[in-house]
Amino acid sequence: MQPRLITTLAIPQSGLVTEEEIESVSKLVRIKVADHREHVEKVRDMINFFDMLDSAGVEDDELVMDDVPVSRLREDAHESFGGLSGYVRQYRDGYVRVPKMD
Amino acid sequence: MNHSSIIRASALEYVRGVTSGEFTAEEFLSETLSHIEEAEARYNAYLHVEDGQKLLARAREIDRGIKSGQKVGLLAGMPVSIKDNICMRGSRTTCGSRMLEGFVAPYDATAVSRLHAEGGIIVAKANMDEFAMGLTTEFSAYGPSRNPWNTGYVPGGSSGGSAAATAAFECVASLGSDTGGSVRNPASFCSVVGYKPTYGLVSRHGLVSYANSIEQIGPIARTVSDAALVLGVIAGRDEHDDTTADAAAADCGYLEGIEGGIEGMRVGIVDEMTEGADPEVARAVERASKDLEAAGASCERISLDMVGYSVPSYYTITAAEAASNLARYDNLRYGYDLSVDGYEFNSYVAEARGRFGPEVTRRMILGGYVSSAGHAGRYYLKALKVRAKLTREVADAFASSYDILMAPTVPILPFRIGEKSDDPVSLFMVDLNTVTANLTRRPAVSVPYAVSAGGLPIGVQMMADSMQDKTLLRAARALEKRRAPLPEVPD
Repeated sequence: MQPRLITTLAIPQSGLVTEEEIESVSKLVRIKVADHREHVEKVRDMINFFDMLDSAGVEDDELVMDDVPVSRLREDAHESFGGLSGYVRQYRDGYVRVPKMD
Repeated sequence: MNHSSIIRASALEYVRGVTSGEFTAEEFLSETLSHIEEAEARYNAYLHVEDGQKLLARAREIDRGIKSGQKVGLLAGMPVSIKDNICMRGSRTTCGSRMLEGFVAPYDATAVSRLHAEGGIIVAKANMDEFAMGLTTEFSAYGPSRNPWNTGYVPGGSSGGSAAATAAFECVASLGSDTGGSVRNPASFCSVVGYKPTYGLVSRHGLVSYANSIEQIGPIARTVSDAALVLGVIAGRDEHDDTTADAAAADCGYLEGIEGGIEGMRVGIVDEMTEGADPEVARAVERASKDLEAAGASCERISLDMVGYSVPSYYTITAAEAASNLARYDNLRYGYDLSVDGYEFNSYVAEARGRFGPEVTRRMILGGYVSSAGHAGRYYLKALKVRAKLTREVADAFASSYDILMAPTVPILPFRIGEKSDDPVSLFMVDLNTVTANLTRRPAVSVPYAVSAGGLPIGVQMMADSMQDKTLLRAARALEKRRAPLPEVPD
């Protein structure tokens, strides 16, 4: 027997997520995907599942954010752990090598 | 106690045994390390076991301290493990990912510092779903862990290595992290106790971030009292984590009053979390409510409408936070060997991230999608509104009527390795009963309650109001005392 959510709440099937859309988002989040088709079906299923939020009846609710006073935040100070340059993969002569920026 | 069986001791039994001279920390650790060597071939609970000689030297130090009457800490040399997304200075921390293969943490997480300060000996880093994204440990880049109750079955996740190791006596207790049930779900599947503290009770400093607004480090142990002992060690205000509660709220004496019983407490059994559950699981919760009534609690059904929307809300929010958090993996500050020669910046980063596994890749894409300008209103903001409404519903339930909310930890029984790994939405449903505590930042615990006809564990989840962790542990202990005896985990 399946949990109630699956049996009683219809999951909308908008099916709007396309391979091109996934390719575009992949570029936005800078992640290389060899074959976008590999992920299309699963991502589409997930997005369709998220469409269930449409029936939650919260459209008119106000979103209240927690304000945290700056005084509660720790001091923005450098904390040395020592030897961190050893963790940088492309380190030479005191400089970090990075790819060229276009 | 027979030395061949000492590793089966609970944490409290360990502390009593080692401080009374019944056995030494070195003997206990030595037997634990031998057992790990033999057990790991079956369970793959650990990604990395620390240097045995160094660990034994530390155990001998503890033994000398005990003999000379020095303070050796509350844990007195107890072997514990930690999930591989918790940093320990000088130890490999991979988060179950090839992206961080070979990464050695430069500092201790606060929870680790506190374990060390109380004499805990961290023996190993436990297997997990890559970056804690999963519910079965099948998404570990280093192979799945196996359930000690049946090695053909998943141990749950994402802290599956921690739960399997604790159930299989490869440590006395372990630390996991719980973003949507990742401590409680594997605890339920492996018949151990899994505790998700109130958000802010335990520092996240040194926990590799996945979904900061939700996740907490929590103990996995073989008894409720053991979980309370470990929680007391790791909880408390931390200047490195501004979301931690102040010292007074995070009163660390979680063992105090734990035997106080449940008499007079009101327990709500959540309809939306029990209807549709596997029949054996549903029957276990019914029996648990009768046990609690026999112990003096009153139990009644309660409906929380927004629970039905908790899972899509949870996955939308966590995907958005994950996409942001994982953006730090550019392979320049840490990562693996990939020369920058011939690459433009964006293409280099994208190439380097090709090492993320398929589930992490999908969640990053999802996170980018639901929080993008064109879709944020429909998904991310709506998910935040659902979270707010769910939080109000749960707060009202605690304020008006109930001390505890109860449900199955997981509505289904443990399943076979590979059975659901290709169906992400079906896997999402495993989280149905656990994500509410995370979204609403309430404490929750999974208590081992029964074993199915097929020999698979069933856990019962209890949840309390914010900062009512002591009440929750007291209720969980009452259920643990009342339940029918459980069989031993098979050898």
